[in-house]
Amino acid sequence: MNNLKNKLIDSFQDFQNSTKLDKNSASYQNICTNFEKFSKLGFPIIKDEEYKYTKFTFLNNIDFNIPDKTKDTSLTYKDIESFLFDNINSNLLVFENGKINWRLTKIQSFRKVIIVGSLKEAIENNELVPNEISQNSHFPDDKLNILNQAFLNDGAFIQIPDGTDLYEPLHLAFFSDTRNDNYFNQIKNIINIGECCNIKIIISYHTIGDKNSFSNISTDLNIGNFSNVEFYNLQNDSNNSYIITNTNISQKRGSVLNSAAISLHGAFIRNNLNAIHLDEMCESNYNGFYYVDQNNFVDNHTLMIHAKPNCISNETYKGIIDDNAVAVFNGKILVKPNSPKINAYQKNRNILLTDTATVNTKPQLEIFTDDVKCSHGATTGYLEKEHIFYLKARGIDEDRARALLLNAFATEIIEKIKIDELRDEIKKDISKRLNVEDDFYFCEILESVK
Amino acid sequence: MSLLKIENLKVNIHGKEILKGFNFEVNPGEVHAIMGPNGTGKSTLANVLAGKDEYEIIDGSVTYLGKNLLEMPAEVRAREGLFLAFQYPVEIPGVSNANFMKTSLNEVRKHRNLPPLDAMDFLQLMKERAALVDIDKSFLNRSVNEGFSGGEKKRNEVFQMAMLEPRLAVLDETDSGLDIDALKVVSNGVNRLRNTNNAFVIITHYQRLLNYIIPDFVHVMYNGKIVKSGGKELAYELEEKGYDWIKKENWN
Repeated sequence: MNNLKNKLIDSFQDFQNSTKLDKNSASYQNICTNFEKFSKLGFPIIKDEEYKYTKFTFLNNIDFNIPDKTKDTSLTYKDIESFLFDNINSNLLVFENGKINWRLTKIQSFRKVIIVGSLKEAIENNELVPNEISQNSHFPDDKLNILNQAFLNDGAFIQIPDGTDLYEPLHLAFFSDTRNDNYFNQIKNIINIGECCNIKIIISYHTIGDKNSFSNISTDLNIGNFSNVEFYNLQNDSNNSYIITNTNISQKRGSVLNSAAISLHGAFIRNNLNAIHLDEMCESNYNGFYYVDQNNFVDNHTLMIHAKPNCISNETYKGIIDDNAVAVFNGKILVKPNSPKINAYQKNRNILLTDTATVNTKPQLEIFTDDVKCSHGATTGYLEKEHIFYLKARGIDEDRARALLLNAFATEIIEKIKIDELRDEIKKDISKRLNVEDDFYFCEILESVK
Repeated sequence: MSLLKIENLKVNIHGKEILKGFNFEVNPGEVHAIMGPNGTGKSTLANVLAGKDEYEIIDGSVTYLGKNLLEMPAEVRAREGLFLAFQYPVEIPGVSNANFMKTSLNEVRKHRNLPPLDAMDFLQLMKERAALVDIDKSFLNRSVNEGFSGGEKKRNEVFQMAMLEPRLAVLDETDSGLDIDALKVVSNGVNRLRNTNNAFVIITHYQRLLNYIIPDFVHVMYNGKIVKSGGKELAYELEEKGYDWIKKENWN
């Protein structure tokens, strides 16, 4: 653990010596403050309440290096082709070991309207108002988010002007090229969405190569009045992938957020998803589905802060845990003083497939206002015997019955993905893994007879 | 050859003896009604036939189409043409009726060495059979039994039966919870499926259902055994006199 920390400290010195930033600028000051914090705090340990079940022992076993940022990007379309979604015509931003790859980034016609670019370049060219760099003051400190802010990291910088209705989703694809070495990559994204917009965002993570990747990705998403945002966090990487995400969302009046975190594969996944309502009439829908096996680990920590009256939040996370895998869910709803007329619901359901699979689930409600409706619930169990028998009594064998039931369990969440092609792609992935045929042709015909 | 032959069947659940030497035979083309007071083992019989595994078979044999039924896993029994219409059909959220029936029917067809039905043919069949039990086609897209009323669940059981065309169907209190119209619909469905090749075992508490589905035989089950058998007139007698006289006759 100290090994990577020492490397980071060395790399900070390099940054100080070589940076183009004005040493008196707010950006620079912010980086230094956070670096000091990181040097003192380091990586989380299990004594940290929020990391009670989340062990960073892999840092002791794997020697991660920090990629040389001065090196040019080298990935080609051929390298990434197989990781892209076939039928989705998206605006693609490709990052390679923490650096934007302009050759593979493909922004479509509306480029004139919205600003899409590299955050690092934007900061270096002073295109940002300083307070846009750090808007995390609403949320509790997270050690990895601090680490993320302790460097001048690259990432997507997206400004969407008022009234933009974007049909093509924004797809941020983070590649780790570990063909030569184990790498630790950091990314920071800032996405500012104006008023009355309609935006879909997909984030995905991919490791190319046999060595290990460790990614620490922070995203600030600020949603303007009456905008509608779909936010999909897709994790379907390999057994040598360690991912941490910190997503901090602020919502203004009348805005709607629909988010889905889908974790299908990865050695270690930790998602921190935080949202706050800054004005009335906001709605947040958090959905999540995780399906982990082998010795994989997935941890979803969500925080919903209701700071204004008349808002809604709805959260459903479901998981299937196989083999020796471990899942963690911690969902917190905080209703601040003077924010009545809140409806906040939360649900976490888990299915264990083996006796050695583990779930740690903790719903939390903290309510400081009267006149709110809040509920939470968590269940963990095995597949219902009665359901399996019913299917068997109709000629379906046990394995197929289980697969059908698990597929159905996942469907509730997957159906909430509003990009049809993406939804079908994920459905196919899950069906394939469960070994059930999902007959899309059949489904289409059925739709037609509705 | 008889379709089903049960000889001296003794079954326990959680160490308690429920079926106590049960004998029963069904031939193709026959409709049998099994009646009897609560707690005499009627549903146990149905569940044992369908292959539910929490029961302990102590003694006896069950021969279905010349094969030892008790050795077959539940899914194989279904593929061999044995069908149980459940007393309490479970709700399965997320699995659509259409997908469920398609998987089920194609498993059964595979077992009979028939090719799977393609989507269009399947849908055609489904619509046709749904009409038989007066089910609206919108239900095909709904999850299995989820949010169905009691009557809809029972109709769905008969619909599934119509889809799978079993050789032997066991209807476990399919009439309970049905209103008069639904009762007619369900009975009508059963009557349309009756032929000389298949057979029905109807478990019921009430003679009412037997006004619509005319049984060839009526059996009274008491204390884990069949204690009386007769024609359909036995059902009227039971309706009139209740079960007390049966209980007295078998007092020991």
